[in-house]
Amino acid sequence: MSYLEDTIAEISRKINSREVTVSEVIESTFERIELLNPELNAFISLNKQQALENARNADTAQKQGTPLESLHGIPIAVKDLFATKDTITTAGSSILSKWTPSYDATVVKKLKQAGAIIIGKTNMDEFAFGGNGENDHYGVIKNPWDKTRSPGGSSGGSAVAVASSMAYGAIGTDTAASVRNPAHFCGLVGLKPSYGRVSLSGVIPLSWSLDHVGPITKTVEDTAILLNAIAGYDPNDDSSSTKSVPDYTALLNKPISKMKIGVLKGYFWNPIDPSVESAMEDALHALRDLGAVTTNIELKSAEKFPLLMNTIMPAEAAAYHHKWLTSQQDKYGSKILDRLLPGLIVNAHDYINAQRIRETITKETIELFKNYDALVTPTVPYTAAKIGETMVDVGNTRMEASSARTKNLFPFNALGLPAMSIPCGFDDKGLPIGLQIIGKPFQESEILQIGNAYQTTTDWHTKRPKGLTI
Amino acid sequence: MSDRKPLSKEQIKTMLSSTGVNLSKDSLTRLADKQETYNQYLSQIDSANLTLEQPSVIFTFNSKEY
Repeated sequence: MSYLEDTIAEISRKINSREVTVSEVIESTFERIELLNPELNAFISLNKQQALENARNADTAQKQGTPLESLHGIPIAVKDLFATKDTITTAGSSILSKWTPSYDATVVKKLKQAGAIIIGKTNMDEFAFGGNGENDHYGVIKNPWDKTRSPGGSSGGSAVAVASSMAYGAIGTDTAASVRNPAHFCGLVGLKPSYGRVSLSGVIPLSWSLDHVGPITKTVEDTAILLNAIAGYDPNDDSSSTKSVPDYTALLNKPISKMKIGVLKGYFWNPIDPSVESAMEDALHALRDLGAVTTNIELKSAEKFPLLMNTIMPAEAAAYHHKWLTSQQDKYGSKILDRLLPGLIVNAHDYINAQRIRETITKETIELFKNYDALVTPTVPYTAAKIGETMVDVGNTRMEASSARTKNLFPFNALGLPAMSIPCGFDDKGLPIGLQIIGKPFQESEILQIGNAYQTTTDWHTKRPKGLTI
Repeated sequence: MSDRKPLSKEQIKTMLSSTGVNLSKDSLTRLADKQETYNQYLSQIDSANLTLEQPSVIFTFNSKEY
């Protein structure tokens, strides 16, 4: 079918002009899922009956002339970390394998209000504490660009669902990298908005001060469409911002000429795989051709980010999981247990001082940002690793895959800044590469403009994995 | 940079069991082995030159502060 690999914007136009009905889109989406998901394993659960009923209702409303919402009839997948009313929400765990919330997470509620149809809950690393898509309870998620390789994570299922066109868009969470690294590994756009921009209410926490919710899509335009639907103040989330939300799609086509872009070198550029470096250089060239002015800069304290990640995140996660560690420890998979337990021996003063160091780096970054409209880095310094690989070669450096995956991404969780990965090329094995664009607090519109301008002159975002078409 | 001394398995066991967490032999061994890595990070906190008064732990990264 000609619309299966469409973007949200494309399928939306076809639905709105009645070229295709919502029921047809939903039925064909589930046909594709039934064909592809047994191998890719992107979903933990599907919502077929409810989705078909919602589709019929959407078609009826359209026939009756009801005004259409921005996501009218669009099939969207949601990471299984978000509470969904009357639908099992596992968080990728055995502990919550039977948990059926009586409420929707705020983001799910907002998606439904915008007319989206939730087609299923996506596979993920257990409790979002991991990043390779290897779940001890729900199986390994495979990268559609090469099924022997990892899609990244922890929102791996969300990324695979979109990359393989089993969903037109998906929602993930990002505590250290978990929206942006799967976007990089799967050739997609992944946005981690500013801390407080999108509600965390109804999302199982991993690390309260670092958790973010964000969309994963094929294009920057689709990301703007989804962000419009999910952003905004939520009284049920204490970290939620009252700042007004602009119309991100309306601002998308603003030119980027004369925008000042700081290219973060040093820590963010070393080590780096030559294919990633080459794609980055080409991307910077394209941005300059669009009129942006690029300058190489460094963040002096960047080397301290790994210490923040390895102190704050396990300590907060252990606090949340303590009750289950005392009562249901045997239900955890071995991978997450090894990540959680160190959090139990982080002293209170170490946690607090790590937060103080975080504060000093935040001030340094805000100061640095005064001279620039946006910053850029390579998203991840290597391309998708083989499933099961725990060590990777990044250029001439052999390092833990988990460190390499989060190195350039966690900093912007710690800083609370908006950051987005967009496709900017492929390596010689045909594996995708991402460019990360970072904005000032609550300036998502600027990074969306840069990303959208880049996608008007490049076609990386139009490439789809081969061998999946039906 | 100060050196953090790793806790023995027995010390970890006592510390965690006082909060109700009991570990299997394997988990305890893996956690004890990981201390070296984590202590490297924690030692960096000791050498971070935090000033006497500032910064506090008011989360100015939080949206409400911008």
